[in-house]
Amino acid sequence: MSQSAYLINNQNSLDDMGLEQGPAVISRWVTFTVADETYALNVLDVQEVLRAAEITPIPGAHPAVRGIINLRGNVVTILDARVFFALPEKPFDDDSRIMVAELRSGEVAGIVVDSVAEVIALDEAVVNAAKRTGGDEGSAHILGVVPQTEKGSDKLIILVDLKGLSELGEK
Amino acid sequence: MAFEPENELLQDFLIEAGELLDALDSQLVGLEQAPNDKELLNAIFRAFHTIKGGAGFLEVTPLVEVCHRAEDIFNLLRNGELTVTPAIMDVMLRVLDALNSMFASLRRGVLPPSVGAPFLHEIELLSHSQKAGQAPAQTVLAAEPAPVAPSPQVAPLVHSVVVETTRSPTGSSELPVIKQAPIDTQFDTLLQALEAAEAAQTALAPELSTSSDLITDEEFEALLDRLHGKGQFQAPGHNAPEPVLQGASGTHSSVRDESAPAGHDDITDEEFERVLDSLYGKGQGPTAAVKPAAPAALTPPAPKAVPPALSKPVEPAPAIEAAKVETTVRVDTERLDFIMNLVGELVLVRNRMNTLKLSFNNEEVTQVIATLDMVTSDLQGAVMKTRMQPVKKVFGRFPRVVRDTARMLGKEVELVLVGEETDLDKNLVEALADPLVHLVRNSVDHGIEMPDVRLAQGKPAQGTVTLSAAQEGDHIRLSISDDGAGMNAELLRRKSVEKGLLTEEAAARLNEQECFELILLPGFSTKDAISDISGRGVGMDVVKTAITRLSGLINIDSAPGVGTTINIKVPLTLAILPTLMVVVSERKYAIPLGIVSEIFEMADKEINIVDGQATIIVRDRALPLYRLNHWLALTGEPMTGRGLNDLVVMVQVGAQLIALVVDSVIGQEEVVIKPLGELLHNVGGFAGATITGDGHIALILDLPGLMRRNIQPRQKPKLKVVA
Repeated sequence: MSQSAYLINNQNSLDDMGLEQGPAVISRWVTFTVADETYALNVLDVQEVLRAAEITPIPGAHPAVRGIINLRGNVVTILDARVFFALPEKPFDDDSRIMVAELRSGEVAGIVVDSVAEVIALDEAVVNAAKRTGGDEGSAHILGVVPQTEKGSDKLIILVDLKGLSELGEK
Repeated sequence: MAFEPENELLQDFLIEAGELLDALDSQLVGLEQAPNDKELLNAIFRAFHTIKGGAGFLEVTPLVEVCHRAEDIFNLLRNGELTVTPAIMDVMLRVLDALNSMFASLRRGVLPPSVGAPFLHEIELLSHSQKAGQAPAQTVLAAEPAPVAPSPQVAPLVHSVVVETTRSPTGSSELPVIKQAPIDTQFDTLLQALEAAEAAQTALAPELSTSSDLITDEEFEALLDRLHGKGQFQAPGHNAPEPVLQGASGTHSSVRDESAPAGHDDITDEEFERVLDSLYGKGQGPTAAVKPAAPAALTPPAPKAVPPALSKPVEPAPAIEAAKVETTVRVDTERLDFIMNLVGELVLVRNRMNTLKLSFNNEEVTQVIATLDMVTSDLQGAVMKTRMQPVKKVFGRFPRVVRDTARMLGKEVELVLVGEETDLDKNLVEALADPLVHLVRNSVDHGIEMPDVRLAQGKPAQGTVTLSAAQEGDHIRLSISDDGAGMNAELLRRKSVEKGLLTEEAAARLNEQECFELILLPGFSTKDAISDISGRGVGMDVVKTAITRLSGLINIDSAPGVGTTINIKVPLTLAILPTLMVVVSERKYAIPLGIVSEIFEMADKEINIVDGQATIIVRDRALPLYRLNHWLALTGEPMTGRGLNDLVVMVQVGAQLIALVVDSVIGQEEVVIKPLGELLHNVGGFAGATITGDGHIALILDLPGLMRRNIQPRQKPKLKVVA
């Protein structure tokens, strides 16, 4: 009896969720900066954002690997966005953040960025259009580029997808 | 029937029948030693029967046809109509292999192929093999009921499939044998044909068995088969003289009548269980333990449930079982791993508390922490125990391995198992299985001599291989010893030079022990000819790698003419690792304590450079000396030279001792291994990471990996022992 009631409730909540995916589909993105460029990760991919943590370096690992951290008892690999996007290195400062994301393999990894800015809403249609134009940049992790509309500036936001990250070669 | 892995019935079957198969392995070999063991014969018969029943229910025809024939043979064996011969055992062991490979494919969700008609026929032929020697009375009977099989009911249904009736020596009819592997569409027709044929046969049964009051096994068999099969027939009551059986078949057919209108031909799990239980008595049915709970959850209660009144007649037979309340629970290993992980976390918190209590300086806090410490240790021990499995699980397969290997080589070997009940972490049990098989095979192949050679040397013709396990503190010692030829250190030296693994001088410098350990090198083989079993020169290397991965140690002892003993030392569990915490370049690292043999100050030791390699002399023994800070240097970090307070940690890597220079030693700490993420998989040299008592991360060193990464291969590091 109680079980069937639960099922009905569950059904309702499923319907609610269905409503959200109505005609105007928007997705939310977390923007962050690396070397004065603005990037964005899908909110759904970001697990959390950390302030500076103590990073234990791994001797002999790929240069993009900053090391590992203790995230509530779990060991999480931390990459450096600057090395990743082939930019000059910069030491950790007050604005530096670690964005923790779950990869497609189920592994959780973090990436060090210069700063985390805000969460923006993008029309899924715009994102899809961007996806079609991107991809020939040589970087497999850049989805595409969208204009930074809200602030009226002419800067672009680079949409990033880290889910496909996999084994990094040895240094 | 779908064979997708998530099919729970299939999973249950695979687990339970899998256990039966494992047991069969040693039971069959045991039978060879004790051919008249009635208990054993019955157990084997029951095992085949249960597997067949389950497979029949899941419609895995290839399994059914093999099990069915094996069951027939064991039926004859336990009735004393056949006697156990090596020929029979060989076929039966092959049957077991076939079953194992079928199970493997079922686990992948693939319907296994049939073993093929020739093999099936070969199994059947076994029942004829000893016919000539049987009592004369039976020949009379044998001629009598011949016309049964091609009875008019059967013929029209069979089409192109040949149904042949074989006779057992008693003269009572066995089940018809299908000569051609049936294709799917024909199978149903065939089943019906079988049913009809059996019905005809069982009608004859009472006459045949008049000499005895008891139901014969054939009749019993026939009954069982019909209960499992399709429900179209009406059970003829007069067939079953024993009231229990009558009750069972009666119940069954009533149930069948009820469910038939629903258009369902398959019997439910529940019914199947009930019938099996009533036939075997619950205590003996190997599936009884866990099953009752599972089907209850699976089967929708409404339409198919057996009314209580109907199930009543089934109960009286096993009166004892009521008392036998199940005290074990089957738990998913994933859940156990999860609990273990949580306990690991708790251990880390405890470690932190232990560090913190010093700063509190409060007696009450200290006491509470001490209690927490104790409870955590107990909990850790208790959880670890739940993951423990007796080493028997691995040992169980060795009688077969030894038997097969010895038979193939024409040797006589007895296997002695000691300490089978020693408990070991589940993961270790699995990880040790393959290396041990390898070592045992090696013992039989390389160690034990041929019977005539042994006799000539005044040894008994039969060699002995002893496999023993024992717990020693937080380690398990496994040893494989044989009373065979032993190893000749001189020969090993020569071979290693011949194979280009070692220079002549280097070989000459090895002491006897080190010579034996040469066999652990990749590419080393003393055999000139490669056999099926061993001699390719890869085996021992693989064994060593596997043992090292388990942070275990392996050492070899041998005396020419007396025998060889291989000792393996592995930690009790892999989840929690005792380590030595050291500091290198201001970072903490953990070295598995199992491989640490000594710690000493560097200041008072003499260091020589031999062939470009720093070497330290410890008690007249020269060890290669490496600086860990060189191996663990980050890019751009200066490589420092000799520090005044440096300590040297002596560790055993594979067969070799090396000396490692560290900045300082913190002490011993039990750590929980946290694997490094996949992103770091190809970074060699680290077994994982751990969180230390003060909340920091320490990398756990994998020294073999570190050595591989840091020492140029041309130096042949493993042989760089300078005596």
